[in-house]
Amino acid sequence: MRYGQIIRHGHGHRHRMRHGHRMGQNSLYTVPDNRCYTVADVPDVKVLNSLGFYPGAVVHKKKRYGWGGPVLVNLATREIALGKDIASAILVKEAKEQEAK
Amino acid sequence: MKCHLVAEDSRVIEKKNKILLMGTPNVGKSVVFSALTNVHVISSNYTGTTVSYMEGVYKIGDTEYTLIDVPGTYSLAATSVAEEVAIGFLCSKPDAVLFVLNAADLEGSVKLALEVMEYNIPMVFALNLMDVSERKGFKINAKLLAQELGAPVIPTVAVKGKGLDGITKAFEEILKGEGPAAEVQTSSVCESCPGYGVNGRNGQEYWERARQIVYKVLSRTDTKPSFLDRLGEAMLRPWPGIPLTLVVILISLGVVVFGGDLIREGLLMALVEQVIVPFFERLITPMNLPTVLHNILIGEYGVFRISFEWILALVIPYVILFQAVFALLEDSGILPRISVLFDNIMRKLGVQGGSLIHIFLGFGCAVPAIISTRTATTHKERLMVATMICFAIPCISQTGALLSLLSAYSAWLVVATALTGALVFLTVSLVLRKAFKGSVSPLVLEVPNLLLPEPRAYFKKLWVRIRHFLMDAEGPMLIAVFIAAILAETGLLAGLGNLMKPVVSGWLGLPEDAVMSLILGIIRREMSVAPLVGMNLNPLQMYVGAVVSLLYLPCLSVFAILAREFNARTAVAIAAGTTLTALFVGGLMNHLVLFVQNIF
Repeated sequence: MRYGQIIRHGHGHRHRMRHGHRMGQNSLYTVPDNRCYTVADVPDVKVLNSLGFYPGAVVHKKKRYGWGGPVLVNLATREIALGKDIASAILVKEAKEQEAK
Repeated sequence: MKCHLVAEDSRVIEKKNKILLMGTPNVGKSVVFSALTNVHVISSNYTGTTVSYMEGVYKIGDTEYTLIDVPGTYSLAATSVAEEVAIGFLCSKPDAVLFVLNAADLEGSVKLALEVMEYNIPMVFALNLMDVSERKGFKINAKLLAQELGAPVIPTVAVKGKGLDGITKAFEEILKGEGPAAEVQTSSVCESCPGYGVNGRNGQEYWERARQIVYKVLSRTDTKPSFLDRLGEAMLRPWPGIPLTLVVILISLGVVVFGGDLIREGLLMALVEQVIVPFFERLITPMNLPTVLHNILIGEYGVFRISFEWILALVIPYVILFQAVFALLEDSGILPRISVLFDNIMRKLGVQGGSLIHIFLGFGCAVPAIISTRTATTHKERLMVATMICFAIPCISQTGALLSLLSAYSAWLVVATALTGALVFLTVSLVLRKAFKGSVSPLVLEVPNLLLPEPRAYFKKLWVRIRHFLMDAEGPMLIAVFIAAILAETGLLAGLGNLMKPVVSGWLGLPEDAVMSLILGIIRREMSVAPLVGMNLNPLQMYVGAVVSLLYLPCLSVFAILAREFNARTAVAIAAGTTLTALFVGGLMNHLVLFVQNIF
């Protein structure tokens, strides 16, 4: 948890990680595997934006590796691994419908 | 501001007739580059930045253009050095851009293309990786895509050379009658030095536009995943991924070690002992030189003997095989999978999975490995990875030399030395994690498709790397050989040996001559191993010698790189730290084993 105990989120206000989640929002790290989620809030980390993590983007969480390992997600046609500390800071909602291409 | 970063390298910026080759990482740009240009030189690194780029001559019609392989980026938001370099190139008045789209990840690459299109430079699109895209069941309407992007789109499979003629034809069309008009337009965008959001757009809008375009031009069919796709998937799961990875690493190591040994014992040693050295003996002996000079040239440690015995027979075969295997791992997409699988362990050591790629590179040579750490996002991570590499990662020529020496005694000595090294590596990382201030960014990594490397591109790359090694390393190795010859044949070594006796013989338990190892190791790492050949060491001495050499000071080139990439203080601190650790651990193991031996 050394990585940014406090991470600045997209809208400028600050969240304490693992606290302050709004209703129905959970961190990408903790939600169950093998389901689709809509990104609700992303920390202001440029590389995430470059890879396409924006509020509203639909991601498919493939799996979480044990022992503090990363989370593997599909975003559009990309497969991306996110370390525990950054996946914990991405807030997601369960996707209502499978947004078809 | 960012625009002017690149202006430092005015030689390239001022060049006329430039075409930029752009695209996201891992899209096969380098393959397109090699295929379109015949001459190919690796240009210098930028001073103070990370990324090297390639330039080559590309002939379109009768005009020669300079094709520049711009580092791959995911966006033009100037968030990394690579992106700054890319923006700098876009602002350098290029004639055109050859943009390589990834047909297997269309959305991401169209998004970057939209950003590049803001610069109003004539563009041609190569829709590459069509084979992978079809394998994944995508069907792309290239005509419609060309309409959407307002520029020619040429489907290609670059590794097989498919579609590349079409690119040149398209350029012939669009560059006809192109004048300075394009320049005027570009400079207007560049004046504000665009970083994030040209024309008020932000990344999200580009994504939405890209999504709309892809929705129109792409359809999916259900296909069975190919063997490579399934293997790629399997390698991402701990089971069977971790065992598969270990098998891959063991096979790679085996090829390098046994292959190197085979070439050394079966071919090069015979060549050196029976052909090359006798040739120089016959040449030098009749000259009737003074004894000292004669010995320096061809004596037991003579230049013309050890330069071949050490460099040609002990170092080169291992280096070439390592490069061959490493390039294969790199091209196949196995390395990122290993990074994902072992991220959890690396995280506990205070770094992240991506650092493994630098560390693997360090098994080749610490110099490129330390340069590659520039891509690390925080200073702490860079410093940690660089220090870890300097402490306990032997370079390949050293590994080869150590292995061939140790395995002559017993495989157990190899295991003992490797375990000692691993233990020091773990300890050092855990200490550094606490000692260095700052943070390490977590892993963010795009996992590429598993690919079979294409022979032509592979051998071209391999050749460039080996040539580089020979050009960079040959000088220092020869200097080491000269120093060795002079030290040994003039009697200076005996004097130094006497001086260092308390350390070398008393503490480490090695013969006095071994002081040569410590001196030569300063110049090149593997040269600290070479003098141990033929000293008739007992197994304990051999083990201690190997451990000291493994942990010892990084060589002069590494020292220079550390001083350049960090600062002189860091370089001195790392050098002192490694030397003390090497002597401490070596001596400790020596006394520990002796103590145990005395009890029984």
